[in-house]
Amino acid sequence: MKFDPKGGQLKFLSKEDVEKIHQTSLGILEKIGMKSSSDAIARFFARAGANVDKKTGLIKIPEHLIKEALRKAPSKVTIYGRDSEKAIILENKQIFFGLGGTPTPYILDYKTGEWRRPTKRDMVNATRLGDALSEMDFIMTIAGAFDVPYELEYIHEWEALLSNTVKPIVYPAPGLFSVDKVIQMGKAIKGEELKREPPFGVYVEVPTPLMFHTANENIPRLAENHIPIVVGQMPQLGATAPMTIAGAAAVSNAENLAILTLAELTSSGAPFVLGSLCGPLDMRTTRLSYGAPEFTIGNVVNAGLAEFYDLPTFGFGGCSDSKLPDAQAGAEVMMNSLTSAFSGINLIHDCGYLASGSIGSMEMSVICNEVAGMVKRIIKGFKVDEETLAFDVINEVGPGGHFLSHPHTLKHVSTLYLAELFSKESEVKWAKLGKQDVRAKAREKVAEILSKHIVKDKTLNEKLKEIVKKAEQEIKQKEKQASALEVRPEI
Amino acid sequence: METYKSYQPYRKVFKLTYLKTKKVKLSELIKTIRKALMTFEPEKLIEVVKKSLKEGHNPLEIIDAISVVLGEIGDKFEKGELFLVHLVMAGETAKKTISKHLAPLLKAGETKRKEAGRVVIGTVAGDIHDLGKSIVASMLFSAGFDVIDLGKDVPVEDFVKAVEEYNPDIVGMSALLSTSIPMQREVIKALEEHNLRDRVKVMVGGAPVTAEWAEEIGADGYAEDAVEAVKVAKKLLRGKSG
Repeated sequence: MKFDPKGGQLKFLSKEDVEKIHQTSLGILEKIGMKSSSDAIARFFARAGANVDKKTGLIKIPEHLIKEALRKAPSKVTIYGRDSEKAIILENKQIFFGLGGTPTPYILDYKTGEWRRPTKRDMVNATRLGDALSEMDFIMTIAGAFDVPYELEYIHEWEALLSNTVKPIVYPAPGLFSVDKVIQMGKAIKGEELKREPPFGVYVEVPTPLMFHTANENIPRLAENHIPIVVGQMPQLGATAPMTIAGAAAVSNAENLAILTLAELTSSGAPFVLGSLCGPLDMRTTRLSYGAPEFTIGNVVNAGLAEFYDLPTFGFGGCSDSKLPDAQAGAEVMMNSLTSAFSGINLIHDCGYLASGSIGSMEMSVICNEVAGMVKRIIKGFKVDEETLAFDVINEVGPGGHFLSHPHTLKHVSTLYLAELFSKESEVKWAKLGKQDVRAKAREKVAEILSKHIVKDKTLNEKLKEIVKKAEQEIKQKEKQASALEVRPEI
Repeated sequence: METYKSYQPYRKVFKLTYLKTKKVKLSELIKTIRKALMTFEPEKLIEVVKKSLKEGHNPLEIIDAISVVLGEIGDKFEKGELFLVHLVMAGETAKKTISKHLAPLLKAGETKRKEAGRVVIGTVAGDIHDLGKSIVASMLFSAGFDVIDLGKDVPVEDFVKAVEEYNPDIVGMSALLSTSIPMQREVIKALEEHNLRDRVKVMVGGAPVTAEWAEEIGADGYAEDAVEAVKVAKKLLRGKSG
């Protein structure tokens, strides 16, 4: 089991502030409601006792249902990974960093320096890279499989993920078709232990503001199978939510509570991770700004809400609006990584995201790995006790002496963080080594990892391939029956 | 936390440049409309429009004046002097005012305004993200296009029907999900099947859409963002000979 450092030192919100946001969210759900384009979800809420307008799909959720859901939700969620040694335990503001996020439309090709459409091959390589990077505790992606039939995109991506990392995975599986295949993949890995030791969490997002979509019909399925539901709501200030952070947080939190209610009322104790984020739409460029200070503040707010509810959290760090791994990218990733960690966000995802989440970069991921290492070191802090105050050692060395040859130095030297990538050598040595900047070094590291790091399990890989193959056949059959009406199973 | 001090200079710059822009000879009407529209308060424009009508201006004149000011606002957005929120507010305010208070007064045969062209726009089936599409619609309207917004999650047949019914110059399709962009291809195929493809130019956009994708599915235009979309739309229609 892996225990990571604890954050939570940074707080913006008083208990009263959090309470106000919570009350506003309850008001939003009870008086304004969620609009569902999924009949199955609307019917579920109607059965549970919510006020549902069948014609419009508007679901108004009373406070008592939400309170019931909050009571049922566990405060600790563990995502195990293929290798349970790599498990991450999400509680008490333990922080973990994750490679990438949901699929990116472009990848920055580390060989050519150009961006292009990612393929399944890139998805595989991104996963192998994440598996090898020491500070990446869970894996999402900085690529995507855009060269497979679109109906099968997520299934191919899941296969690439599960075949190429033993670390915990968090990834989307929208809709019943993909979630069922992903659960089958989970069973191929953990068998009957799937419920007890989920190797992955599934990223879930409802369309904002305040909607449910047929893609969200995967939520009850995940709850039944006790697969962690990792929420990443991201209303945009002034666009899909109020311009004010407090108002956007109330919307984002309401969406989280609606998902939580759907999950916990389906299956009591369903593992749920709160992801109530919000970020600004840059009003000049019309892009959501991942490198904005306000986006980072969203993490602090999310952490405040999660503390109030006693739930684990999903947030972000390691992402930038810059198009290259440059100085801007460096500044922005350190800002959001450090802020998230200091807020005590459990899952800090998006490492290696550039261009507001449009471009995934392997070089940037390697740089983020270094940033994550530094952040974890800062969060760890240091101990103050007799041993570390070292009065006797200072006495022994005395004025004018040095500590280099004292056993106390040797004993504690491992507490220093050693940079793997960043340049710490003298300028003379640096010049001799070829005057490389950090991006060039990162590129070399990517090439080195990809040339040798392989995660192998032939039997499992065959099983996963088989699931993808069956999914392909099902899609083909569906196409044949295209004229027939699609019947959605009851949830 | 919510003061956005750093944004304030932009507003100041905008006010100054706007007051100083006297290169073009401006009619009093345009000045009045500009003053009202640039407050970004819907009531102000309605008030001014009503007053102008009383003073004897004809509705078509007023619509043209609004179009001129919308064009100016679009330019200012592109220069970074105004924000998206100003652009959308002005566009929506103008659209509502024209359709409620001016269009009904037009005599039969009078066109609503000198239009750059007509666009049918929508987010494709299976996708309910309509923010990007709405921004593009708003910008096209501000740039003088007649925009018919079909909304989100628009079935393939509805695009076809809209082309038959409205006879647009351009069909615009938006998609945010990588799993929904194939619907853009389906719409193009359906237009071909109904022998409508030659009647319209097709534009596609959305986060996962690329120029290569647009070419692959046989679209005529692709724009990376809303500002670009207006340019592409204008370019497409210039190339469209009578």
